[in-house]
Amino acid sequence: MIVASATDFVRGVAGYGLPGVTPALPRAALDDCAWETVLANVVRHRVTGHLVRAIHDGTFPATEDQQAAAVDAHERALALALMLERLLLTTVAQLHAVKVTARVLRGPAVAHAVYPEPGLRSFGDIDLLVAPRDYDTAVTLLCSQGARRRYPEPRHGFDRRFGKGVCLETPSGLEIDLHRTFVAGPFGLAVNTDMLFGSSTKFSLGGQVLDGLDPEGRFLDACFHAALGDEHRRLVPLRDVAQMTICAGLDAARVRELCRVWRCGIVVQRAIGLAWDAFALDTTNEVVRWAREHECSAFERQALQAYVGSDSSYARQTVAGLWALHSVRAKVAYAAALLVPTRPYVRTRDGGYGRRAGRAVRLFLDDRARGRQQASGAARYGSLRPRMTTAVEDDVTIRPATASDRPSVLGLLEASLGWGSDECYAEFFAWKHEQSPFGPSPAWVAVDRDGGLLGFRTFLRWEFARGRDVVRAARAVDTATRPDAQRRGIFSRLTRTAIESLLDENIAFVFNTPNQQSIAGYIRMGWQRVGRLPVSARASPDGHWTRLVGARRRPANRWSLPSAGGVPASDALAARAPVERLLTGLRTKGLHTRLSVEYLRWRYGFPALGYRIVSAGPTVEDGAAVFRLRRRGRAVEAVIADVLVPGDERKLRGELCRRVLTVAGADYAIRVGRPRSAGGFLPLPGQGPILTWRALVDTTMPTLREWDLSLGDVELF
Amino acid sequence: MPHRKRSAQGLLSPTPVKQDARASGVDEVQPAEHRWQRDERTLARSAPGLVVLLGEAGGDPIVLRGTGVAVWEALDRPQGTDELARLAAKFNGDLGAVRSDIEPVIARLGAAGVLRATS
Repeated sequence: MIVASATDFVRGVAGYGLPGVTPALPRAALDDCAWETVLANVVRHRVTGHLVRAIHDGTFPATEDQQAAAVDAHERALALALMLERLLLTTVAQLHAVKVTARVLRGPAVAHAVYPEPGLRSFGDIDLLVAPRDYDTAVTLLCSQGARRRYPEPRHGFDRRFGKGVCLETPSGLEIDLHRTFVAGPFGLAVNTDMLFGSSTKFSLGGQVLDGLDPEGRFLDACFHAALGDEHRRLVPLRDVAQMTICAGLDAARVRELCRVWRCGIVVQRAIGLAWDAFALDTTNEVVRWAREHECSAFERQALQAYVGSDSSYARQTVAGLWALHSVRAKVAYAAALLVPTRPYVRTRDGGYGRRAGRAVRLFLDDRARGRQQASGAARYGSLRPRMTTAVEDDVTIRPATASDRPSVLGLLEASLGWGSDECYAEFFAWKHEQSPFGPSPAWVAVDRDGGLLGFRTFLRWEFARGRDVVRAARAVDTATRPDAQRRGIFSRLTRTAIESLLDENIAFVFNTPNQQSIAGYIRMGWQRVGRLPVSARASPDGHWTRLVGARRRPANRWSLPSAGGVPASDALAARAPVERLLTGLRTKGLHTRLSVEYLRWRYGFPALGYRIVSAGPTVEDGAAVFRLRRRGRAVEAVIADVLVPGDERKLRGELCRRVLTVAGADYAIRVGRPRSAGGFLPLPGQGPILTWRALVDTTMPTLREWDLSLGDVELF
Repeated sequence: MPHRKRSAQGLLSPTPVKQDARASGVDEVQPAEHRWQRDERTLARSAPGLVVLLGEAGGDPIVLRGTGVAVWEALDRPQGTDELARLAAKFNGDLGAVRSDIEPVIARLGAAGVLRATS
């Protein structure tokens, strides 16, 4: 089990310097591989300033080369910040010249007004809020100076009335986000930005005085940024939220009032919850207490769904914006602009009017259905529930699992998943999660105030191959919640924490084969159903094949029965050269497990599982079938885990399966796979495991036909 | 060619300005003609052992490291070249060599609009 991962260190860096935080930082200089992962993610999260500071303070041990690399990375971040600030000064001067009122948002304003050193806050673009009355003037002016809109306006006047703003690309390649409001969709439409121009926080930059938002407005902007971003969100907005909440001396009454008027208390609640989770904060003040206790309205919950639900999208936010508009006239204008926008806009966004209309209707109907669910009291917001609500109610802390957690984790798996208490389960756990050739499994625990274990979640690293590409994935496997702590969102919180960490590691996707009880929970958290894997069976000529019928609905035993058929897999795989020749001769298709000698030895080498191999020749080189026997009800089942045949010869594949049946002493054999290699096996409709998938870095789910999985890829896990 | 957002890595090629004063020899220092001070329009960011500067005219940011950081800090008030050389020599010794190193650097910072000459 991993004690602390690169993700923990990146979070430790991002939280470095926050009052009351003991950051998770390494105790000794990291090895090259871990360091590169940490540095890449520190750059991605734009927290190089904190890393350089932590190294300089001696809190983050680093070699000289590592320190130099960190400084170089930070130097680039600082240089970019200066170029953006120069652009900001030019832009503000241009706007000022035509009497356009603007407020500097986010990066530069936060760097100069919130952090003790501006260099600690990096950014990648500039954000300006412009008063609605000046909006069109500002866009026209900047476009006349050479800036280009990334997307055309849906209809003339839409941006000024309803839009979030415009992203403008300048001739120098830098970006200006010209905001009318903080975010797109219902929350953005609910914000009355006129309230933000009555006051400001001034800061000096390059000899000029600029106006940022007042502290509470700035805080709410940071909350919108942190809470409603996608799951690839950077840690910087969370750090902003924590920094302002703890250090900025916010007027809690004004925060409350703005939240009431703008109907965005849930955004603050979620942002603080995320930040407190990310940095393991336990600091409390008036704003934090209010956020914890805030009771969200139906509007807030429903609006949040459009941003952070599993099916959230820009289009859904736009459709959901209808609720936030009060007058019928505004609703009609809004809907008309979106349903029948200008041709250039449609061409950029959808390709055609028909496709756009169909999409809008589907989204609208989905939205109404969700609204009815909520109105009827069916609270389906497990995945949206701000984490802090759970954390505060339950005093639950989510943290990476450590080696010292292992006994209690095994105890929890015993209580929840029916694992035994004997040493075999401990060895099974170690085999699965510590000895895999794909690397040790990242794991997290939920603990209560006294450190008692409430929940456990781990993901098994897995590697696929697709052509010559290696696809790094993770499979959601062992998870358990202590029975008396169930229905408190612990499973969801553990899983979400894990997902964020896997994203930081650039894992392509998560997959698993959940059972009927857990599949709904996964779907709510963004998993998608790929389909049911095809399973087929063949009765043994000597066995009691009728037992197959009775066994179909019985669970199989975990451990294997002894078998004299074939040879132990560990013996058959002991000689490396024949295995390598076998693997070289395989003809693979689709998305399949990345096979190697190390993988096969690990996968089929755990003694208690008793895998055996039947070979086509004296060694495995000419082809091999891997199997084991297990009991299912009264039947003895031969699990054909893998059939590896050079050139994918169908005839040899079938022959090896038949030989398994002959030598194994089973009533029947089952296998997973495509019909191409049936070998006398008959399909068992509706019996295969359901494969589910969740996007991480890869966002396109492979169809069922694109996967090439064996039973060895899915059983046991 | 489509516009693309520039990354930090792709956008910049900052020019380090090293301050490696080497020799001593106070009596060799010549009186300076100008005194220099930071231009208030200069944008600056600092980190441990590092200062990045960008003058009003834009261009590539300038990076100061090591002794250069101390020199930049001293320039919050008017300084002559010889005063800066003395400061730099505290770190690296030979004042004469430091002075000859510093002069072109100061000239470059002045040309970039990062410093302005004062009387």
